[in-house]
Amino acid sequence: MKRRWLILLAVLIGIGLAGCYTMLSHPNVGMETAVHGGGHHCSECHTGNDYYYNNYPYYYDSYWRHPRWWSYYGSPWWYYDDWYSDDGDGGEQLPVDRSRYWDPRERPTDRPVVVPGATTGSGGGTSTPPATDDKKSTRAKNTDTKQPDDSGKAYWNRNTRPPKPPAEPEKPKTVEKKSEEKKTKERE
Amino acid sequence: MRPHRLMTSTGRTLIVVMLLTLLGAHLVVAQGEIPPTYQDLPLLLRGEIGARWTGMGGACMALVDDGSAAYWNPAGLGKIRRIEILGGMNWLDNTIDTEYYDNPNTSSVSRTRFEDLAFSYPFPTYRGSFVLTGSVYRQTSYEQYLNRWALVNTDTLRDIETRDVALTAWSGAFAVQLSQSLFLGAEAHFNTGDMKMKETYYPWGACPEPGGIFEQTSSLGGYGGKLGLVYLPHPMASMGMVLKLPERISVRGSEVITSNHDPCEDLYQSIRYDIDLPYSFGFGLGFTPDNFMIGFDLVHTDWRQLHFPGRVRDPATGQYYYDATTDLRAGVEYSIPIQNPVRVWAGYAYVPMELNLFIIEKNRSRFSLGAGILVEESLTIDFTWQRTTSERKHLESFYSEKQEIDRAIVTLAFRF
Repeated sequence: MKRRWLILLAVLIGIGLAGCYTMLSHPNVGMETAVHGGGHHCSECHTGNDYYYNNYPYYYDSYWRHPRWWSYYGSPWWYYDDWYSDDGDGGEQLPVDRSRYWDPRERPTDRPVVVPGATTGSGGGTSTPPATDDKKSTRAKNTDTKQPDDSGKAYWNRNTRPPKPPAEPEKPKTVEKKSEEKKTKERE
Repeated sequence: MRPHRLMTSTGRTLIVVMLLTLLGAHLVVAQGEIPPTYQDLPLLLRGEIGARWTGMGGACMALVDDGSAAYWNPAGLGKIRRIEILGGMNWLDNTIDTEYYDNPNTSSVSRTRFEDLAFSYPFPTYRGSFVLTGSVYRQTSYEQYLNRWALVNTDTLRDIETRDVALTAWSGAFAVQLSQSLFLGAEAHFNTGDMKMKETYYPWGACPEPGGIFEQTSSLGGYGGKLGLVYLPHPMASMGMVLKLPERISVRGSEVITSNHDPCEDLYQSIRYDIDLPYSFGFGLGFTPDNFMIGFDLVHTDWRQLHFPGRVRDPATGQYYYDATTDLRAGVEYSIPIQNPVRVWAGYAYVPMELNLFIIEKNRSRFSLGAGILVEESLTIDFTWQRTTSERKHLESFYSEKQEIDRAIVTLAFRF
């Protein structure tokens, strides 16, 4: 009976991991190919700030509506929204009040890169993740830009996903404000 | 499973009968046999773990999304996105009101026990989900003190029975996302635990001393597992399926039967037998409209496929002592739309009794209420109160019992 169990377990793990939807490592698309055209482009997956969220198949409406529940249930421990964001002017990203107390741990070093000049996505510029030792400022999640589609369609479903965001994505107001202040100071 | 063990329950009863008869006592069987409690295996009880899911009546096969999914539906582990440590305790109060030859009596016992502890690790993924969980949880946690007595004419009829069963599963589980909307999970565990049962028979008459004592102390082992699926056809709807594989429970220990009248009649024997619980099939639906979470579950088990050394059917009529059962579970949770994350829940579960040797007047049902809060986006504290009620009687012995089990469960989950 134990043998039967082991075989069953092995088969299940095999099914689960072989050719599975779940990817533990980044697909090997080749960065040169991505930059110089041909083949896949990073922006096909990394559109705007929400690559992971667009591919996140599970959420409850109430989790989305309440950012704290969302942070608890929906926000992966290894994922930072600001990996894929850039304020365009190199301005610093501001901490938000909702940053988690137990803010994490080390990030993977092979984080995705948004290619300059991409026609879609974050509007160009390499992503500039905040310093890893700045624990308080690492979560600059802007939930306003991540509300689900009001139409009630499956936001995560490829077929019903809303159109890609415009070339200049909407930025967090706090960041814009900070950037404007910075520019004004520079002009003066 | 072992032929010689067929003697255990029937032989035990016979030995007790013989002992007490030889001692000149009129055992209660002379008036009408006390209901055969040995077929009433506490190990068949379907436990519930986790305050939140117990509070929803256990209707969480499609909804569960924390470490207790290893118990409910391992596919639900795939929804975990942050490293989680979850643990819980439960307090139980079991009150049984009996009526024996029109003589009422109330017996109760309470116990506080550790309920579950789980560590879940979601692997960083670029797409999908892969989660491993190691956990320890109570499959069965049951405590009973039953004192039934009767005054017939001038003679007293009494029987005291205590049971203390704790079956713990040491579990390993994983879940993986197979497509955008499909999760697969599997869980395997091995069991440890102990079971203590003691019955004290008093002789027919006014004698204050017990006539005989039967005591069984055993350690429990075995293994089991389950497979689960969760399908999310829509963000507001989900389906869950669970196949619980046959559970092996091994019982190893000793039995002692003592006579207070003649030590030469004492009997000691070691016991060693296995119980095989049958397959269980579960199906659940979940709906998550604004601020609500609603679940419905069905779990079917054919207890006639139970294998254990005692009797499974009546040798004379061939009728099974056990029935196939279908548990019905429903629950609802409401997230209060205020700044502080608070949610409340309630649930109902209809969990029919497996044993059909009694006339069931009110089948086993469970009501539950609870609430939970989120602290600092990292710690959830959930509390649930649950009441299980049932009523049954046995005409031949003019015996009826009404059972109320209250449970209070606290579960804390911390996500890093």
